[in-house]
Amino acid sequence: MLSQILLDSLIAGSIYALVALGFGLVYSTAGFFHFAHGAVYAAGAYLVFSAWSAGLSLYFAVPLAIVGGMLIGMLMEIGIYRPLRRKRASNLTLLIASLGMFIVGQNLISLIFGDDTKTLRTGLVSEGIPILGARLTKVQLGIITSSVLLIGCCWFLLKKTKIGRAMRAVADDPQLAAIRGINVDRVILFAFAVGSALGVTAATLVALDSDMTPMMGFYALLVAVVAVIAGGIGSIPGAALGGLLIGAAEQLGAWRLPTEWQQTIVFSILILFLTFRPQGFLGRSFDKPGTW
Amino acid sequence: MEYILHLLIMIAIYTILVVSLDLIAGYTGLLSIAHAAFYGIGAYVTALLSIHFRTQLPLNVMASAIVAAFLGVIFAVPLLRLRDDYFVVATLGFQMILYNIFNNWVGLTGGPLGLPGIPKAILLGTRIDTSPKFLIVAAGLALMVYFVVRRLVRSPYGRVLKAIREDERFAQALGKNVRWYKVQVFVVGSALAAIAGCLYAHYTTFIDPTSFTVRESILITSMVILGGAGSLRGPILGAVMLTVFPELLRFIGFQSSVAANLRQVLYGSLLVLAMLYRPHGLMGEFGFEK
Amino acid sequence: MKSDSAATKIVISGKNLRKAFDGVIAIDDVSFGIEEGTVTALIGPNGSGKTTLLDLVTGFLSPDRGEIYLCDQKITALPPHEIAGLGVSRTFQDLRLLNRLSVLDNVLLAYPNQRNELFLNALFSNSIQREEARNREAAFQLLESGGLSYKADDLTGSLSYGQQKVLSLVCCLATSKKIVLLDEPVAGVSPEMSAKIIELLLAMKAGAKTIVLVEHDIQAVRKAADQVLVMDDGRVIAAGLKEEVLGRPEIIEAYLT
Repeated sequence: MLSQILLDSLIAGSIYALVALGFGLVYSTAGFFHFAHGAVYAAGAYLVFSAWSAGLSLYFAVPLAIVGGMLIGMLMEIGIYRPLRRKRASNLTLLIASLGMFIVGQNLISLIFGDDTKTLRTGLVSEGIPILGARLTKVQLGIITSSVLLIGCCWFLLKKTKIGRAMRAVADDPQLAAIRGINVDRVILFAFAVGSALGVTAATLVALDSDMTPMMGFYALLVAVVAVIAGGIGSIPGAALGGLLIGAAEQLGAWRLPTEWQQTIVFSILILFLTFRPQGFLGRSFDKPGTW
Repeated sequence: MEYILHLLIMIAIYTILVVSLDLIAGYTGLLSIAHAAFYGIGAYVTALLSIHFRTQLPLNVMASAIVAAFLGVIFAVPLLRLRDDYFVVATLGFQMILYNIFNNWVGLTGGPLGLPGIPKAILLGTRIDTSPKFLIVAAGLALMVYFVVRRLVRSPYGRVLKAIREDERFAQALGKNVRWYKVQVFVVGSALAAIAGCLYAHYTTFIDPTSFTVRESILITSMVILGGAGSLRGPILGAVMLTVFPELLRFIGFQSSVAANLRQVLYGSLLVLAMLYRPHGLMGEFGFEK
Repeated sequence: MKSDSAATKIVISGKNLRKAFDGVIAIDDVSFGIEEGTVTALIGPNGSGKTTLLDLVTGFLSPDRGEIYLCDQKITALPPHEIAGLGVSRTFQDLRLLNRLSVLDNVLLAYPNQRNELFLNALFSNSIQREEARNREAAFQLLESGGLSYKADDLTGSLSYGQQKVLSLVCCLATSKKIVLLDEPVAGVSPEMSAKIIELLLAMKAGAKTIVLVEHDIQAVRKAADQVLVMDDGRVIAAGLKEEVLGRPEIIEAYLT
């Protein structure tokens, strides 16, 4: 029993870590809550679905969707966020615009594809291989391994590559980074590209494992927000950690409480962190988003 | 005719919602997407009191306001020191928690099935059982709320609110206890939203959690922003527009669900366009700029 | 820093203050005392910690170590509005006026203890008119003394930079606090405006206020100040009477060349 819960936590946590990482990358570099990430996430899954329904094999559909998602994310940055930044828009303005885009995106998906539940699952629901007293399907194994791989790649990207260092510099202090010659706009665009790609991947994995609806982006987004805040503002490993934490909390909660209270647990975590430790686990304390 | 009365009643209810949110967000600068949660609290409190105790309207109004105020204090005191965008996220969390409570605490709220059979409002012994009568009550309450808030924002108190909105540090340096003002305003605004909920419960005689979702909160916020934050009349105009428009869509013959999607695509797009080109909305004073 | 008269009262003092940001030490073991009724200039190169010190004293920052006193009362951990309430007013280096409100509104906000700023009074009290009218009257007079009364109903954002600086001073006056801390009151301002501001400053001093001004403009300092505090790299390197401090060769060399 316990091992199944731990496994489920790992699976859920892996997905949330990916979504949170994507969201967190944009938050660290661009400095605001990109709520529309939820729309990119959902759009990604539906792009896969469209390509797949049109006859394309998943091996082509998924990369296609990832590219599509990246383009959507980048378009949002170029078309809306960047012009707003030029006008010295506040975080709040960016958040409101982001919210608007999320609403538009989610409802367009609804209009085009309908509200019914779809899935990318091929074949029957498999029972999964028994591992250490729990059951793990091939897809779920794929989720965990992809997540570990992608998080590892991100770590490598941020620590060892030039653009990654630039991203960290912008996350630390955009003005200083600009003075040092870093093209902040390009870094932010890159963050949107990578972040969107991660989001689309996560959504695809979810659709492969269970199902998809136009609403899927909403909860994923909220989890991402909680994960980034709990894991640590501006800390990229923190976002991944936060994702794992939420996954664990959700599954552990499902063990003890009726499933409908899962969401409440997640949001209570949010409120607790915002009240007592708004900079999250790994965030720096003078970055506290509170006032004096 | 009945239909026009329905529209007018909904406009009256939304007037209370947008005026109270404008007080919090437009005048004090505290954007919140938890307003529907307080709206819901008012509705559920009224429904429960009415169903179980056959209470009269004034008591329901007060009880709704008090419960909402109480919850507002609990939320506001620890969380109002957050920076404005984090505060929005906090209100989002609060909204979701409350929605979950509406949806899951089946024993109290009826869960997803809601609470049917809410008695009509009783005012001074008379049952408000026809739409024209209800419109008078609703419009009366809406006007009262409007004039109270208006008086508040036009007074020196309102001046302090605007100062807080424009530059908290400056307000602090002038000796204003910013934290206290923010808590007060948030609590008052939330209590007023609950009053709208009270009306709604008596009007529809059946409530369920789907009326008090984050989507509803965003709708109310959109009315305020698009109409023009910080002007009271702007948000009312926003409320009128965003209440009437979907009805028009339905007249044209769109299916209900498609109409719902289209409505949201519309105001989502308007929000983005407003932030880009006209953050003050139609006639507002404030566009949530730095 | 003793003058010849009997016991000079120290109205603001700081002891062993230290403040660091992300490892960078902005204030390093600073102690000081400001005498009542004097004008003290706080000078020093950019980044020496002058504005940080002001922020510490007015409660916008809290020190990592050390204490701050107002007369004998410890104010170190108090929030800014309470310190303001205890008798300290300030201006900001980046102005911080309310641009979207009228000039008059900015000044009206500065008046302390307005009963109409309380929720219940604002709603129910009928004496709004009287208190407000009194304040308006006084505000107009203050604006007059600053040469801004003709702009009373205009948006603050429409004023020139120099006029805005005068306005922030007027707001300070309106708070009627005994202690006034000014952050670069004449920086970036035309000579006529500078003269006007110094005129207001001297009038304030004549009104028995204690003034601390952070300034780069040595002319202004020579004209207005009695005492000078020199800071460099987060430390106080000199403190005393103006003539004495500004006459020191190392100060002249390091700072005035």
